[in-house]
Amino acid sequence: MSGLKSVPLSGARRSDGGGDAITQGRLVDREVDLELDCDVVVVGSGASGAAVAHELTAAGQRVIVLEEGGYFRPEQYGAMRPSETLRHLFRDGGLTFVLGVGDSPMVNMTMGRCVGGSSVLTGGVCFRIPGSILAGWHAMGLTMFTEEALEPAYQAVERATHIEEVPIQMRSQSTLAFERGARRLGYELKPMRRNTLGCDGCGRCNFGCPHQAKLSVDIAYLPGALAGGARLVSDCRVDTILTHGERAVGVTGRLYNGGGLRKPGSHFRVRARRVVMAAGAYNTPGVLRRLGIGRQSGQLGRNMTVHPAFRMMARFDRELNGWKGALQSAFSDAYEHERITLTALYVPPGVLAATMKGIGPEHVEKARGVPRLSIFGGMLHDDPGGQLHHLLGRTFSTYRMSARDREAMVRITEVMAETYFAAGAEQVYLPILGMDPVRSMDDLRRIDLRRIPAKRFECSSQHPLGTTRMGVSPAHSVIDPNGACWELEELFVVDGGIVPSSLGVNPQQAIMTLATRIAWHLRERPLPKS
Amino acid sequence: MPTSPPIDPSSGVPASELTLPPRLHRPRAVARALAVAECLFMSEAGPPPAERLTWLGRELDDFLERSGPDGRTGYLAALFALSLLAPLVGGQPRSLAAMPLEVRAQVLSRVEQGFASGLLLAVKAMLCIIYYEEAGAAQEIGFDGRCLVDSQAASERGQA
Repeated sequence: MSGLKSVPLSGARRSDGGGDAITQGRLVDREVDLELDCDVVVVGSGASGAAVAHELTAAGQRVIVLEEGGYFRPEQYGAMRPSETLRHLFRDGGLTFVLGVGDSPMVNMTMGRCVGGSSVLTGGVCFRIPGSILAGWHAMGLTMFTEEALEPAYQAVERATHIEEVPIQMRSQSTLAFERGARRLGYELKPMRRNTLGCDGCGRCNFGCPHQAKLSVDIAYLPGALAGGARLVSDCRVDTILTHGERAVGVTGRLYNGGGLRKPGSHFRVRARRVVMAAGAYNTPGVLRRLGIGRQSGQLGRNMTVHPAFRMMARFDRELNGWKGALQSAFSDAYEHERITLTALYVPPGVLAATMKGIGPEHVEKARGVPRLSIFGGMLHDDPGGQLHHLLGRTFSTYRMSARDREAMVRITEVMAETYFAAGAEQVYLPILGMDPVRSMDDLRRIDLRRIPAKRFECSSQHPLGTTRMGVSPAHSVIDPNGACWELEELFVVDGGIVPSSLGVNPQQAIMTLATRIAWHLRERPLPKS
Repeated sequence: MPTSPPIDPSSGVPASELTLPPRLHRPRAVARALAVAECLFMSEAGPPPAERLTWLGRELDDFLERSGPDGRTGYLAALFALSLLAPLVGGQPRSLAAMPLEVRAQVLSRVEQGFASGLLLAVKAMLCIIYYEEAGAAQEIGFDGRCLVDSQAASERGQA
């Protein structure tokens, strides 16, 4: 880093690189290294980082937000096809896999890599942290997390992101079909809550809302922070946290202006009085690890929960055109006691067609049945079986599913299939690779799901959590209940990594709420002298 | 409630970076993928139109170029492994691309039933995601979700 030029942030951009508020690292001259200065540097612009930047800027602190991914305007990503969104806004094009260890499924884990992070790419689903989860946290000693204590932060997030119930009339025919089966089996669907305003139910929120009706953090939080004086640098990868004695004093890394993701370009250094890591549960541990943080507890990168999710499809005797309606409009907690949450969803026709067995005419015939398909998802409140590993500068992960989760995975399959048959489905496609659809409950009973290797189950995840978990003792956790790293002063972590257990529900609101709570704490905590 | 952004409306990734490149970055990999695609999307009327496969190839190439090193490496590895395994599984002494369509379909069906079904799914998934975004392909399966297929809006995405 010697020979760094000191360049004011606004002077480092080219004329087409955005306003003063945003510097796109990819457009910075390759000959120019950046040296920046602020009160608080926030690494990551997703749900947690944007919320923290918003709160601290409002408190008058000079904030710089760093984002590894690119900056796409909502009208840009809103006009993309799903595969374009995958290549431009998702990490690894949506092809990140968690390696199943032992009898565990391979998990396709999708994460955002863009300004706004994964919040741009969710279905907008928002849940408060369930009471049963908070009770579990209390058993870990985290007694400060009560519903009353969290209420102000919940309300702040709900106001900022406009969390509202999805009206019943926005349910798709796909969701209504599943609901009929649920009613016949004696359980109900409840309306989902989402961060939306003016949604018309075009069914593609998880590839970036085309109408700016989903108030992801690039719409709900970052504009306010930038208007208040925060600065954002996109296309930059943070490699190291700078330290002075026992204190974090900034970060360094590389800009992606070298011609591709494998060729980082010029260097940057941000000096800050406080460092906030918000790069996500998958990425933050790698940066902390380079400093040796986590050795004390041995917990860094461990305890990862992923909410393993399984998608069930059923074919009906009539067209449902399930893409018409809200993507995620309803859920059921009827099986919460079995650690299962059922959620409505829809996915692009290509994804549906891909997961159905068949090549050539058989495939085409099944693809022509897409309008008659209903889809529903089941998500598991899992045990912490995941772990991050680092090799040659890259992060990869493994997941060992617990025995009870293995059993719950089978239960999800049984419950959803039974619901669909109760709804009158002609065929049900189990989430098992290479398996023909089943035509009745008797067919299903003839299949011993427990003997099918877990690796044949088609499993996905959008919710890595817990890799920098918070706790009340440095012996068992990486950060304290206020987000402070036990092992380095002025280093805070606010992303999903801090969540000390699986939530069993979509974590977006929980992450924003916990980050807001930590930001309020930081707001009151005096900044150290430079 | 959100406040109005102070962002220069001309900012964001330049439109030139969102358009397809004129030449393929990975012609061999694309050829392998199209050998699978040609028979995967073959109906009783025959293989899909050549121009649609060409479009699919260019889109896949662009996807691989932009999706990041880890995702790209994973996909290319799956594609390569499939091209090696398929002839072995099918007992065919020739590459996948050199097999007649009917034989290729039988071989891939056998792969799909066996231990390498995950490899085929990985390859098939991305091909399907892209293929059914093409307006004609979507129409053929009765899909009219305007936000999810190649639309006028998508083609004008950089000009907004």
